[in-house]
Amino acid sequence: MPVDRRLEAVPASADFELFFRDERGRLFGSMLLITGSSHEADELVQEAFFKVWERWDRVGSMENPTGYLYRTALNAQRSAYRRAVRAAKRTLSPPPSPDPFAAVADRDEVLRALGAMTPRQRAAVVLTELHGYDTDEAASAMGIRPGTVRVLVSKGRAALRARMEPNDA
Amino acid sequence: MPDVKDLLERALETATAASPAPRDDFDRFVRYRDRRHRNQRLAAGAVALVLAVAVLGSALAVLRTSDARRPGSSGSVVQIDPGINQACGPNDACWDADVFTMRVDGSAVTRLGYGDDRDFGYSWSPDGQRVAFYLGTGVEDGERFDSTADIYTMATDGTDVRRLTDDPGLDLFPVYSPDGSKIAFTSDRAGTVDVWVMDVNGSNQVRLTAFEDDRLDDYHPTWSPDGAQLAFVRGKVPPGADGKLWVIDADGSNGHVLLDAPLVSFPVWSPDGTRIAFDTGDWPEVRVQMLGLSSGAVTDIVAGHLPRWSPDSTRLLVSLTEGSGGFGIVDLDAPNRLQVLRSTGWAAAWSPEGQRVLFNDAGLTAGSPDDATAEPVLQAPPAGEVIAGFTESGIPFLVVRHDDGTLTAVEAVSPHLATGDVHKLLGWCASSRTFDDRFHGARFDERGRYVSGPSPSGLVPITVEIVSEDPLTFRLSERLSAIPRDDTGERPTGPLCMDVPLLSPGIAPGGLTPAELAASSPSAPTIGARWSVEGTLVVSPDGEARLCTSYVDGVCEAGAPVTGPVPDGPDELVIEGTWYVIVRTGVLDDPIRAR
Repeated sequence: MPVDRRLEAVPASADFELFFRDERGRLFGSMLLITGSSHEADELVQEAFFKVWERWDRVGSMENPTGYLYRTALNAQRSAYRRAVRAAKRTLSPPPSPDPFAAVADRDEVLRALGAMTPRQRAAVVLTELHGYDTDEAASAMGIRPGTVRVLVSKGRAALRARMEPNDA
Repeated sequence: MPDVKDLLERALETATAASPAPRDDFDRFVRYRDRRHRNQRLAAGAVALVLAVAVLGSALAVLRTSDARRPGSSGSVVQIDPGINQACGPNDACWDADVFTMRVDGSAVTRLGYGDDRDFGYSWSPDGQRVAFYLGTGVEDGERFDSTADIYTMATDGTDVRRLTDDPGLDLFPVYSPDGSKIAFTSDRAGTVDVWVMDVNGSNQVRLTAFEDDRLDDYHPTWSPDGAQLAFVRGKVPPGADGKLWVIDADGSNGHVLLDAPLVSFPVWSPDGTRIAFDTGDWPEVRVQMLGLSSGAVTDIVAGHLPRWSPDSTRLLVSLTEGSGGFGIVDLDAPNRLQVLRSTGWAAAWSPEGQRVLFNDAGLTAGSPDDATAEPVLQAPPAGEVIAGFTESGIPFLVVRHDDGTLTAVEAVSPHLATGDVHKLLGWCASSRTFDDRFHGARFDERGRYVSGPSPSGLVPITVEIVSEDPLTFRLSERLSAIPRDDTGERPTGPLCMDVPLLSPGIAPGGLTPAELAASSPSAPTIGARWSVEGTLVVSPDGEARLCTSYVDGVCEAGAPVTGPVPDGPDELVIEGTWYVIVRTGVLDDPIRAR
């Protein structure tokens, strides 16, 4: 499978703003597919770019800063801290505005099918199938073993197939 | 089946089309980045301060109460600062939540502190002397508190702050045991979210919900009145929460499910031990419900969240999920009727003696002591009668004294078509004892509750602070949120007013007395003086509304600007009559004809 060109190296001299503008939309979309929430995806994207900005001197000269960006976003997404914070946030926040993604996800068969996967399966499938990561790269981004990635992708594909094939028949 | 990559590309396209990035994407990120960067620096200072507090102990109290210039010093009166949250987006965290107390009638709002950090009061000690709260510090902006939170207690005047926990995790939701010797709380310090218990001085911190299979989170503890058990929520934390109500013995044994219903949050055991109130449902459609412990029956109480029992177990403080929040009291004998106390913040605890409320709020700043006296002291009318006027900030009001001697003050504005800067003033019909919208017919009972006619809600109450009992004098205080329309009032028993004049701040029969008029020269009115004038109110969308004392052939020859332009208003709205005006900005253009 060809590797997504967006995940290839960005020149070390690349300006952070350019990097942001190039990557923001696709990272947001990926987080949207993984989390199923535009509010959460937006938070993760802002936070990931903030962390990258803090280390831009180093990250900007990396061979693959985009990989670092995705790894940072996925780290934030799975942190125990965030889960605990969200537990309390429900009562401490103003009411969230309606999520436009939710209504679309209800209607779109692919998005509904993605909803049948676990968040970790979605992350593994998005990284490998959508972005062209190999197993080791996906494992590194997700903080898990390569073997686990293979299992997650396999189960995720099976879940996707189970939801999509009846409609194709 | 199509290629997986093609499917995902399609899904990505659909998803991003449904939730497109804002146009000012990078600018928005820069604002986020700058706040995060600034907060990191502030957090470093806050950590240093907290460490200093741990060493200096009660020296903090001296520092806090002696710093007269610092907004929010202990004991100051507070007022809404409408600007503080205006720069924040709906998902931003640029706020400074603080702990407050007030009397149950809404008066005596007092800020307990804690500076610029995010601190959340949560429970009151059984002896009423201290409150427990948690303080978020750290670097994780974008959330309402940060990457670490620790538990503190302080005296109810904001002094004698004591830190009880100090670890990198989140320590939240501290609740005193009924005998005041222990505090239960929620923490993720062990890698999972659990209920912990510690002595009231912070020692002997023990993980209570150390279940063998600990894939689920345990949070929001509440003690049984005898201290023998704790109820808590067990499940995955939101989003996608499926928390159920559990109970466990205080020694950590015998944990089991008490209510197998999903989406339970914030259970709280009634002081009489017979019920557990909780909230349930997806935000913002959250409702407060109650589990009867002997019957097992669940009773629906009211829309809202974070229930908190009154000491006599007859009422609940309930926080609102809509708008800017706020909270009120629901009497269990009359469920679904919430008496709103505040239109912002959320309630944390009822004081043990039942007279005060611990609450949290953002967007409050301290005012000078003079602010408390900005509104004049007014004399209450006789029972069954009403007075009308404008507050110093220009809000028209009506105050009625009920037959039982209590007072209700409302904003004298009809909620119907209440858009723009010019609203319909209400009048008081003495025979039906209703506040009437003369223009379109909506009626409200003498407590401001909706009765009939076109209106989206009841009236907007204004808090009354009693200054003296005999004679009964009072001062108007804070404007609250409108009474919900489903909190309907009593139907009028007397004749309705049709064409007779109504008492209203806009059309004040009798106006001011001649003696009051003679006290000032009409040509040089004193700022803050009130005048009854005959004039024509002319409202147009492209300029200030003006009260013209001489309006001839469409020309306003003299008058005073009384309000701003009316967006999407009529081309020109002309209302002739006698107006009760307050001079706010200086000398009027032309002497007004007072009568």
